[in-house]
Amino acid sequence: MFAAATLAILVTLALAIIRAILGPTVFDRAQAGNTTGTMAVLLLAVIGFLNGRPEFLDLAIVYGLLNLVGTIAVLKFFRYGDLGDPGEAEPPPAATREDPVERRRASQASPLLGRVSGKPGGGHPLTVVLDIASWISLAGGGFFCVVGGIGLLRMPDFYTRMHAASVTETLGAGLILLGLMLQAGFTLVAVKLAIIGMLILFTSPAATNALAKAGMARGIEPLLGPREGASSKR
Amino acid sequence: MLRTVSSVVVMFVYWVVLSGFFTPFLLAAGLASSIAVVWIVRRMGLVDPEGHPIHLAPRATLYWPWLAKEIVKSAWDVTKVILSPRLPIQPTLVRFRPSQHTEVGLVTHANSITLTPGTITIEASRDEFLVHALTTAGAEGVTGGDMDARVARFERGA
Repeated sequence: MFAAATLAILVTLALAIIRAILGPTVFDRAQAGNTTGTMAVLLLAVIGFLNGRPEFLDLAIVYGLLNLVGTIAVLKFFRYGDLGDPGEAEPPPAATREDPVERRRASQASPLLGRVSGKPGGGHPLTVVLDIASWISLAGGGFFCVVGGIGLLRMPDFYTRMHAASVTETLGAGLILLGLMLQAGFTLVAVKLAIIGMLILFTSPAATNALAKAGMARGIEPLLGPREGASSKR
Repeated sequence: MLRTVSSVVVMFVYWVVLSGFFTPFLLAAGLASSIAVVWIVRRMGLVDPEGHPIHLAPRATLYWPWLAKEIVKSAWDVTKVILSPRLPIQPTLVRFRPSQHTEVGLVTHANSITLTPGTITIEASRDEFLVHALTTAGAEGVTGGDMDARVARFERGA
């Protein structure tokens, strides 16, 4: 079942990479890059279970942090043309305030990177019920990841694609992490998975908001729906 | 002061969880690092109700499950849209005035909107939120005021 989840993640990765190549705007590519990053975090977590190496979870946490910083850096560069630019005078966009805290945590995490006492799967008498719940959760997570990837390709403009990506980043990632937690049982591994989930839930809206705002600031007009355009249907 | 202590506790628990070692030396090192970090951050003036909103924790236990339920519901809606052959989208921009008063409340509201698939906050300020919605139903959900009221209650804390 880990193999199935891995496969779903790889398919989503491929779809995101196609979107990154197609573009057409730099913001589409940044969005695809962000989805790729989230998928990489999930892939690290699942591969850790696949190979019985929980150390991968620490890598996933660090990668999740780097992903947020990377996305913000790319956006800042394309908005101001300089990473050292102080930006605008107005208060920072929603929730970028979270990242000093997260970065602080990252610096605490690194000294003991890759040392976990818990072991996923092995050694825990898992009930059949838990196993089935975990399997359903992993399969569902994989399904929603791929759906988000398909949406990333099908949606007509940058803003609508962001909605598709958010399916991958919330329900897709959440269910896969839940599935893994059910496998881990009450161990440190489960706590780390929860931390990864929190990390994604706190950082992904910050990155999404920064992306949408940067797109607007660079004059990317959102395609508005038939009701807005035709205005006859009310 | 209480907030400083709770920051240290949170940092230390985080250290222990990530380390997984319980030898006296490493626990002491973790505690020392936590205290050092909180000391520095305190000097930066960030240990305040915004930087460490621990007072909202009791309320969060009520708000987060509701948010999770909303995320699942709207993710399912967006999934149906994506998989539908006709791709029935009506992208909409809506503006409305949020009723939160604190920065934490506003950020929570803006991020909750972004987290639920189908709606994205583009601009968030005290006076106005600009939200992009995938469907008109999603836009109506945002302006409906249910989330707004819940975040306002969440922001007031216990």
